[in-house]
Amino acid sequence: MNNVSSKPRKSWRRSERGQSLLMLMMLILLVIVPLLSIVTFEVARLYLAKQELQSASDAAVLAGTATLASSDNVDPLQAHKDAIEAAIKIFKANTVLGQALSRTTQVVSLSNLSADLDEARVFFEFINPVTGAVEPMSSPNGKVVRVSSSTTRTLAFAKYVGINTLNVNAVSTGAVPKLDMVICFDVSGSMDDQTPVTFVKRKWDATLGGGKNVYSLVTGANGLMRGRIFDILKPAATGSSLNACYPQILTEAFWEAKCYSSEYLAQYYGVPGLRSGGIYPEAGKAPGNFPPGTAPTFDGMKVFTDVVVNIDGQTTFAGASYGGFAFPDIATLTEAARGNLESDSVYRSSKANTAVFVTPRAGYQTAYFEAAAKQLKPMKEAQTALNTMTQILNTDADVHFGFVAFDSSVGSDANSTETWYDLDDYAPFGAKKGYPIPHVLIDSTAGKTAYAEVNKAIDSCVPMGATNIGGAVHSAVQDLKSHSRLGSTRAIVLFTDGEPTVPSGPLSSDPKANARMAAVEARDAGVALYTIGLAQNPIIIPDQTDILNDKNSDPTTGGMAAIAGHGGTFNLVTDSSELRQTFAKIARRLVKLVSN
Amino acid sequence: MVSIVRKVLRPRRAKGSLAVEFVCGCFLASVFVALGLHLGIAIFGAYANDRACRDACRNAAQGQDLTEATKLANVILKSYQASGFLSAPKMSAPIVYQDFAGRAPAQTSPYVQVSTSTDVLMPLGTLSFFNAGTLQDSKLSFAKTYTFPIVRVK
Repeated sequence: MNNVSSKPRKSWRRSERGQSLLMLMMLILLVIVPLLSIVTFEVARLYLAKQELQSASDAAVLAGTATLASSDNVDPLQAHKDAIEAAIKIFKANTVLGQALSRTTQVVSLSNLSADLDEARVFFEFINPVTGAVEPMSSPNGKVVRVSSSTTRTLAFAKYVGINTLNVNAVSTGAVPKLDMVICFDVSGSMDDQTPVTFVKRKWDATLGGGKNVYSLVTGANGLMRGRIFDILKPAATGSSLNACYPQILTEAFWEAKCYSSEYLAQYYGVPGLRSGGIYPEAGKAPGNFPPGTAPTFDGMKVFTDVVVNIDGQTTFAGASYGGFAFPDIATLTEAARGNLESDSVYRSSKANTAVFVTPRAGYQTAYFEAAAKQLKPMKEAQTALNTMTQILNTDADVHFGFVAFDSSVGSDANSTETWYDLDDYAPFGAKKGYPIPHVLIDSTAGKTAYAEVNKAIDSCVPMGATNIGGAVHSAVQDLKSHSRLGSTRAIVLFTDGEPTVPSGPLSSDPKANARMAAVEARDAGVALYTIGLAQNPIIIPDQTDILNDKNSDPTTGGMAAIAGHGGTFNLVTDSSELRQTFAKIARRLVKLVSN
Repeated sequence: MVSIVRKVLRPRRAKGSLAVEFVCGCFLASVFVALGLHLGIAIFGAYANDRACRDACRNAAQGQDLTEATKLANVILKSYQASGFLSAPKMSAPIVYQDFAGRAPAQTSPYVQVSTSTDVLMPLGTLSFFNAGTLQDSKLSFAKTYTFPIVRVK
């Protein structure tokens, strides 16, 4: 027996046990790990693309919402179109995976959203914030903007296994927050200081022919009294209380231009007045000095009987017509304002027929005051701008409105009035009647926007009185604290052409302290205060900035917007024609992205 | 003679082959793992830069003017610290602040544009799978530009 062969032979063949484990490890390390890496990379890259697309969509929806809310356009269809265009421009300015989204098209249906390679598509919807339903573009209720976007990009590695491209999508939603806003509107006497007027002395001149009414221009301490009230009277920085229309407070002219109202002088001397012998109503009354000697004419003194509005808007009235009524000259304006052109009988009894050569008929006086109201500056521009702002916000955002008109006081309800004599309060003359000082309370009831009531209130305001800013803001804060909706953004928009004056209260007897304390109340109530200072005169800018600014938040020396905080701003306007844009800008500031 | 033949014909000892195969396999696998690591770091860098740029741009859009917008953007960028393979993001171009002086044309929104870049240091620079230019110093640079609307116009 061979020793070698007789021994149990040790096998040199390696055992195959464990080979499968090795193969499995190799499979994992050489195939699965690389594949997983590549798949993970692709997924991560696509997720990055989606994230970038989402950011681009967010930017677009924010631009769209901001444009919608601030669009100086009250046509919902156009406002929505503007919003879409602005949104697309911002969307196109962004990139996804290094490629610009410049090849972006808007689609009209969500089913067409899937984009071709390297292009993007966007789809816009406008949603009713109350019902959640998608509204047509022409609907004013489409106030929430939703952008759906899509883009297709090439894959980095998967193309080698036949998957060339993949589509990513994003959806963004933007809306103006639920907004409760109270407008504080300064209706003080200076709100018509840019109105073109003519001071007239109307008297009977027996020496002309058989005698006739004459209407002479007046010269005051500052020269010929014709043109803008501010230029004629040259009042202090806070403006003049004399008004172009009722209540006129004619004696104010003395303090600033040393020119007397004839009725003030008549009452002072205890003689019949030159306007109509001191008799009111004066329609149908001849000048007070008819027949001659009945009333003094105060010749040689700076005296006027009437202030009429140049309804053509010019410094020197050159004639105009309104509503089918002709106003060829100052004489016609004067007689129309007095009501002496309403019928043939008053036309003759007032002696207007001696100097005014139009056909008298009912409606002349109304036509004059309507035409005059359109010339009240800056009041008319402020009213128009406010109307526009409320209309824009009502069209484009979920807003409930409140309104506080203020002069030296604040009304208690929408029908509140303040009593003044039509012509003068110093030397009481004219009809004593109530002039609107409306206060529309904000309503938290769903759907009660008070939009119509507020616009009616804005239109009803006339210039009168002083400027109690603190009183108005205090009232607005109380309204918002008591009547605003749960979860709403709350804001006050304060418009003034002046600064706080006496009388003051209710928080302090010092007008400025009163205003600042009201701002502190706003701050404590979480209410933003947007202040708009219309500076008709550069002299007022420092004082106005001091009290309304958004820089200094010191409660005793600061600006109201800054003291109240919460994002409120101060907007200085030096030309009333800029008001519309300023209000639109404030509407835009109230916009934010509410969700994705 | 027989012993020589036996020696020649005797099967080779396979002891240690497992280790050899494992080492070879691991070497190959390490290449893939390194590539995977690079891919991961690259995508991480892109994400970080995207996030920094987006946040900086959004913050800049709250500014009232270019100076304030630049400050606000820088505040955000400073909050993104350099870490590991990632450099701190930096502004790669001056901020564009277009507020149209408060008078934006129709259908146009005021906007702010912020560009940032972030460098990523690749751990294995020699494994340059993009191109030599990009990875000359083992760094991959990611750039991003965002454009956001300015909502709170002054």
